Amino acid sequence: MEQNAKAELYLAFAAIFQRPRPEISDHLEELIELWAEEIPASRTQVQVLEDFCRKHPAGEKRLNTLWEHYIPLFETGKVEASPYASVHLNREKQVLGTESMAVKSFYEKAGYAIESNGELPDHLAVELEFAALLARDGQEEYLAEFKKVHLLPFLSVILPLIRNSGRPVYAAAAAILQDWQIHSEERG
Amino acid sequence: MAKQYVMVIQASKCIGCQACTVACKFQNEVPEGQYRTKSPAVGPTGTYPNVKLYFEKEACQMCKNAPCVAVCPTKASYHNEDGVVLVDSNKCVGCKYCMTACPYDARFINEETGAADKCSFCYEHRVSQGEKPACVSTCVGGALSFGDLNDPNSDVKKLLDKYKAEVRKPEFGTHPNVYYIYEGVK
Amino acid sequence: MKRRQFLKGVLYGTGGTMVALGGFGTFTKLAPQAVAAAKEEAKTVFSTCEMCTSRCTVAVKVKNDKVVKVEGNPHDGATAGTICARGNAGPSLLYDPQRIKKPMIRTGDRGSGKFKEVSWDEAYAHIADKVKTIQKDYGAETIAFASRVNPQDQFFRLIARAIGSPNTFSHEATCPMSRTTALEGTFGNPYIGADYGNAKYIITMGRNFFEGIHVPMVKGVMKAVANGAKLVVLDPRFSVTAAKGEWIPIKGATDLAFVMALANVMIKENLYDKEFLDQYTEGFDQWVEAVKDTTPEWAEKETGIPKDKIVEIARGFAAARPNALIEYGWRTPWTPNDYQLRRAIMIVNMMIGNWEVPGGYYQKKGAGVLAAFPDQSGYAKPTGGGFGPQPAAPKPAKGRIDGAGVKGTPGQLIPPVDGAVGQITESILTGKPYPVKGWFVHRFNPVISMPESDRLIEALKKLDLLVVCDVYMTDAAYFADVVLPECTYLERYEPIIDQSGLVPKLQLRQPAVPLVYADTKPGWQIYKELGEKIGIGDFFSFKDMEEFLTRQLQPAGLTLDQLKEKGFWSPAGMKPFFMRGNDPKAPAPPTNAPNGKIAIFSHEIEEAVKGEGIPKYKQYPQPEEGKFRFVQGKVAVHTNAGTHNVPVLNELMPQNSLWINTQSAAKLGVKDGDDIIISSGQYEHKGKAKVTEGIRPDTVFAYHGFGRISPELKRAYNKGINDNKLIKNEIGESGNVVTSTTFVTVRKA
Repeated sequence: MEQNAKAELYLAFAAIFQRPRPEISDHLEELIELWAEEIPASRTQVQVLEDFCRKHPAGEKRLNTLWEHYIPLFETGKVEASPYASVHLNREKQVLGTESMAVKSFYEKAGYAIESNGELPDHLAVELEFAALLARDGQEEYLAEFKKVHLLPFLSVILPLIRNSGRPVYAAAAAILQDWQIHSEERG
Repeated sequence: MAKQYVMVIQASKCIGCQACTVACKFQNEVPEGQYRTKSPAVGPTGTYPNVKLYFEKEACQMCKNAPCVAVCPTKASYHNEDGVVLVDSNKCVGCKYCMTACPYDARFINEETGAADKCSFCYEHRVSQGEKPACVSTCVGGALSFGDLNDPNSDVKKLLDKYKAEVRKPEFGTHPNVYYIYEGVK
Repeated sequence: MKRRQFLKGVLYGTGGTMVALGGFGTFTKLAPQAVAAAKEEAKTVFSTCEMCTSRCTVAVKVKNDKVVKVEGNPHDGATAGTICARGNAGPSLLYDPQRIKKPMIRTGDRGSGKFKEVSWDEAYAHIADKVKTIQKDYGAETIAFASRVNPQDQFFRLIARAIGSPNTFSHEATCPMSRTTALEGTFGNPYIGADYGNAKYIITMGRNFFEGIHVPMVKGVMKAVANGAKLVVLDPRFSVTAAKGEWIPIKGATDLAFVMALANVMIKENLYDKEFLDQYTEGFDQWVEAVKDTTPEWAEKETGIPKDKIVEIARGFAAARPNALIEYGWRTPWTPNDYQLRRAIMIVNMMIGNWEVPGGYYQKKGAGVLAAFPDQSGYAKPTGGGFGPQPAAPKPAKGRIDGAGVKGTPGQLIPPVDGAVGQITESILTGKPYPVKGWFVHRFNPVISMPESDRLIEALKKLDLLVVCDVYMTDAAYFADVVLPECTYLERYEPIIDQSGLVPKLQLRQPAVPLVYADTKPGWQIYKELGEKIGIGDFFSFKDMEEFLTRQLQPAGLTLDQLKEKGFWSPAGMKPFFMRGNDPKAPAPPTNAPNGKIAIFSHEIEEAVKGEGIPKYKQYPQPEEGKFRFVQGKVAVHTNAGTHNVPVLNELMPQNSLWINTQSAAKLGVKDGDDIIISSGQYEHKGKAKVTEGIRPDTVFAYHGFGRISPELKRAYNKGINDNKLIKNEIGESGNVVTSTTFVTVRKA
């Protein structure tokens, strides 16, 4: 896969797994198109997503539907799949665990800083965005190390949770990401 | 002179508030759902309205004659210089012999480390720094005392001189360093 | 077709709104010199706990800006450096992934659980719009405000004052408010403390020291007991406190009969301090008259306590005088006239002259109280207000919905600072005396804390505006229009906390770590910013909490840095001060007491309700065969309706069960652990039975705060019994809720 496509893919997943916002919700079709094109195994899930887009045309209603599922899935209360790596990979099952610190150090090592008053460093979308930047800039070694040490262990725990939630859009996107990052890796 | 660290638990002052339980979890980074110590209620026993209830603090009894140390094939379980039974998680292979051998059911396999785990009297992080174990420091009712039995001025020495104390399951000949005073509750 | 223009734009930073680095703006390029090896930075921050409302001092252990442990504050003699399980659990709340992280606005119907996250600005604008509409259409007074008492109330309530609503409430009507009414009616003020540690005889009626934990008080009672004090525990249920003393399983709702019988015996046997009563009190003659027929024989029939036992307790209590006390209660609203029980308790206390002596009751010694005592006044000066100049507030167009504080009416019994919070439900649903259309809720969970959950939810659904500010998606937040995420007590400053007891004591709550979730805010900031959006920003005349605290401390001759040092301040070298400690005839006036006397007969209460100036017994029904009195209480590892979703505490106790006596259970064919249905007639609740010898056969019991209704409280949702689903929303004589007059039946599920 060419470097640009890889970067765009990471970014597309970073887009879908961050908090819903209008510009992303309105460009959902574009993300789906990218997945369809670059990840052949995603065919079934892409159809599910396309159905969603047909039923929920771009606009406020689509955005609210995304919120309706994003909040219990990732954000408060039920938190079916907490988006923070620490919660899954560290003993305390809480945020800001050692994994969070480790990821932050990795960012710094690679020459990136994360806003201290923004999202926590080990948020799923943040890690994916970081991978996109590394891919875009051709920092292949960092990307490989980041994947191995941080991203893949996290994805292998959280993606099944998101899939199993059955939440529209998110479950399908998780399945596609699984296909791309985990299953394709397994197939070598 | 070597120390003999002991813990003395006065059941009459234990209110079962579980402050010790929670303090231990944070002090020792014990994984979710696992505990080095807990203080479950015994009772109510008797018949209404003549009933009794007390709490029994459960944890490693720090045996002088420790079956866990004896059975450990890798010497991961050992007595340190002050008589405290500890586990070296690097040496532990998770064979669970110690868990079978312990008459007090005080050990478990730590989900995070994969090694046998149990109360350490907070030896490394507190006691060796001159502090009391986390459970003792936070005991709201004042039921827990800790110190060196070889020190004639220690609280534990004074308590054991003053009250009749028991050890759990003496028939196993383990000679624990954790003593229970049940005066006023049984 | 412009393929993937959006993603490309974002990726390469040409998307217009994105920063030059590209991506979603999460990252910035790091200057090489900023890469430093992580160094271990450990520190201790002294602060004040908020896992419950008792406000114990704590030492927060921080490593690399992360709270690793919360301990008791070793500098504080009151706790001796200990802290309870809930206090220890602080980090579990702080780092809980289930906390709310962003302001939310409801997008579906109330109770549908559909929300979207919004910016603070959008949230404030949404609230401000609704407030203005309600103000215009119905009047500002139709917006009610309710919080669990906390130091930030002055900001929360300022919104009400500035828009012109008189309807501010605390949770106290569900807890100790009837005691407040009694103390105000007897002593002129509610700031009365008890010196448990030096008592030789303690009688507690339902106050469960060892499960409703207040650390300094546990220390006190435990010290007394260890020194040989007698502890008598009257409670229909065998509590942990009962296990540490002599348990007397009194018949529910008859406690006043017991207290009046004690008085009867003490008068008959001349076991009281006549000289004390003459010098310090007024109205004792009316009390003598009131208890002349409340004999132990009579009380035996009422309470089920053998008359000889009553006499024995009266004699034992009086023999220990004045170092003895009958506990005045904590979560008190058992019956409609509960305040009269609290009054009677304090009157019998005064009969042994246990006022301002070790082992008795005392006026809490803030700097203001010390001012009247030349040898003490040098120890402390009063603190001041934190606000700068404020504009005049509009006069509310109408009186309060509960009539609190109106002289010459029953409302006079309701402390206006607390109010009859149960009236909010009624006013929403009945429109009387006028409707409530909006409700602001701060750090309070009425759906679980107030009686009759179903009716309350019905009321919430009728509101035009419900705003809830909390750290979790609580049961109340679940029904809100706007949910505002507060940061936790470990991440914020608050105004000075006055915890004066026998010496003055000022406590600080300060942030131990930066915000965990960047878009949460402290309450003071939320209300200041909301105020600005509503157009009442002038009232919030302070820059930030450091400025506010500095202004508060300045008149006391203290600085914020001084408070930070140990997290609290008490005058150096001052010994516990009892006004009558050295001289039993020394002046010892309670603050604001009418005529400077302790009112055994209360003219104020008489003025409110004729004939009630002296406590009198009211007989409440007892459960008939087959029915049980339903009582509730606290458990050591949880706080009211607060902590049940905190991971570590939930793990220790995820649910409650219904305590039922072995004999009673056998009659119903119910075994320990069985699934049961509890029915109040009007409402039913499923649960599990705990069959025990530790409860009266005519009573059932459940720990409070379980059976949560918000599905968003993942760990606590639907686990156990929500006691308040079964309890009717009745408003007692002093505005209290009524917790212990509900009867239920139990059957196997």
